[in-house]
Amino acid sequence: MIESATFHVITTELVVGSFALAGLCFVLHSLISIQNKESQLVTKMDSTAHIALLFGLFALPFAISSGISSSPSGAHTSPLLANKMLLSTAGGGLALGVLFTRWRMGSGDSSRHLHNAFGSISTGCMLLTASLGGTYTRADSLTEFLPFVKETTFLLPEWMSIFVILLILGALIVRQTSAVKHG
Amino acid sequence: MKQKLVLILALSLIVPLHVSGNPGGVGNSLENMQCGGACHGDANQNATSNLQLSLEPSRTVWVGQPTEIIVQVSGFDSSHDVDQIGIFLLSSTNANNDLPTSDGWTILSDGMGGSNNYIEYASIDSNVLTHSWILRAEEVGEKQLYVSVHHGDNSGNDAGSPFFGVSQAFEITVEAIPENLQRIDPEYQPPTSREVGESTTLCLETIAASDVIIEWREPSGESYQLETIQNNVCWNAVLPSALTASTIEWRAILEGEGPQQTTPWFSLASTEPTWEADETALMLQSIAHFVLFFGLVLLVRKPDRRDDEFKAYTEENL
Repeated sequence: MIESATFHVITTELVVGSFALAGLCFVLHSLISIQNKESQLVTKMDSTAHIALLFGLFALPFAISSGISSSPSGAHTSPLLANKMLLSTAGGGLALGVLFTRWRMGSGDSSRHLHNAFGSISTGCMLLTASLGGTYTRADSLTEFLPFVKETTFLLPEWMSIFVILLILGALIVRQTSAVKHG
Repeated sequence: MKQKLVLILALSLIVPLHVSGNPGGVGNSLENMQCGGACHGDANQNATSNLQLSLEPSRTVWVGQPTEIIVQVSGFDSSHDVDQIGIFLLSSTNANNDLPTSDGWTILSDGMGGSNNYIEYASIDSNVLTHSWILRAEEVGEKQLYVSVHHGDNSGNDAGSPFFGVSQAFEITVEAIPENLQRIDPEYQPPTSREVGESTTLCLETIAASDVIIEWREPSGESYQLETIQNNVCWNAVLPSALTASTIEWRAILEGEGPQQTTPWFSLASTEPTWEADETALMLQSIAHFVLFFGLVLLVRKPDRRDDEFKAYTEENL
């Protein structure tokens, strides 16, 4: 039987590799489209970024769940592990949002760069999460210049988390209702 | 454009080429020799350590009884300029299944508040480093133990390389214990760590002991004796709480029919209370993060296609 820690390594490699490719393609997509909107590379970068992001998003739940079960004491016992969890869910939310908007709203010129920026930030969240994993297991990573991410966690009270969830869901419902009326 | 892309990719692959093990260490843990490559990476990259490694067991090692294994690492300064060192206690050099626990030993204490076969020292203060493990043999017979080290080096031709060293085999004979000799119960597990400000009530289970005295000593070496009270199951004594993060040692002196028996010194590390958050709040916040950032992307994005369709529809009617 494969151990949680081993499975976590496999799944995080998948997530990090996919998100890194997606992030690179999002950045290049913006850079290339600034120079030449008609370039074939623009379409290729756009497709590659979204497919890689989708693949990474599929692997993400496995990475998070195996990460939680491979920690002997749980994510709530270390600020570093807590930040890993918060960053990975933030990155996952961004990635899902990017894919959803691309699917439902298309690739409009006006919001292309904003869309790519969200995709890149999602990648940044995942790479930082992976880097924190390096700090946790090896006490060394490429983000040693960010000590506050390893020592400090901004924790919200339960009621505020629930309030944020309800607020965003409410805003999405209002937005959807408004769009239906206009449509 | 393609050339620039290839150049950027090539440069990004070249940047993280500096490889030097884990400068921060990996923490005390149960590790096979070479940590399965997780500590210093590929074993072929290691330089050979010139540190001298020795191991000294107790004079008599009884089966089922705690025994002190003293490890000495010497040659600092003369051989290496070392900041941090990791020391392994191994039962073979297979680099697989070579933990003492795989060869009929139980690690009761690693001297640093845990029960690991691999421990790390963050700094070296003298030419000789002495460290003790407390083991318990589970079976009678001949056994072998090895000492191994991982470290870096700030001087010499291989400065900056990861270093590895392993000792010769040290033979240990585990003997059967005389039947009526007073002793600790073979199942007894001594506490290895506690939080600062917390006292520790020992409950020492013994066999054939008529009296037990507990002796403990501060890090400075000053020692104290505690009387024990026998209840049905064990001998009770209370070790006082520590005011700061530190390690005290304690041992038991057993009286009975046989000659007085003294256990090895058991280490008891006091650590600062660990950071802990409300697990439910953290889970809820994770969900909130997911929903928040998902919603954020949707809410700041203008629905281009629908706008265009609506615009086209209104223009047509005009």
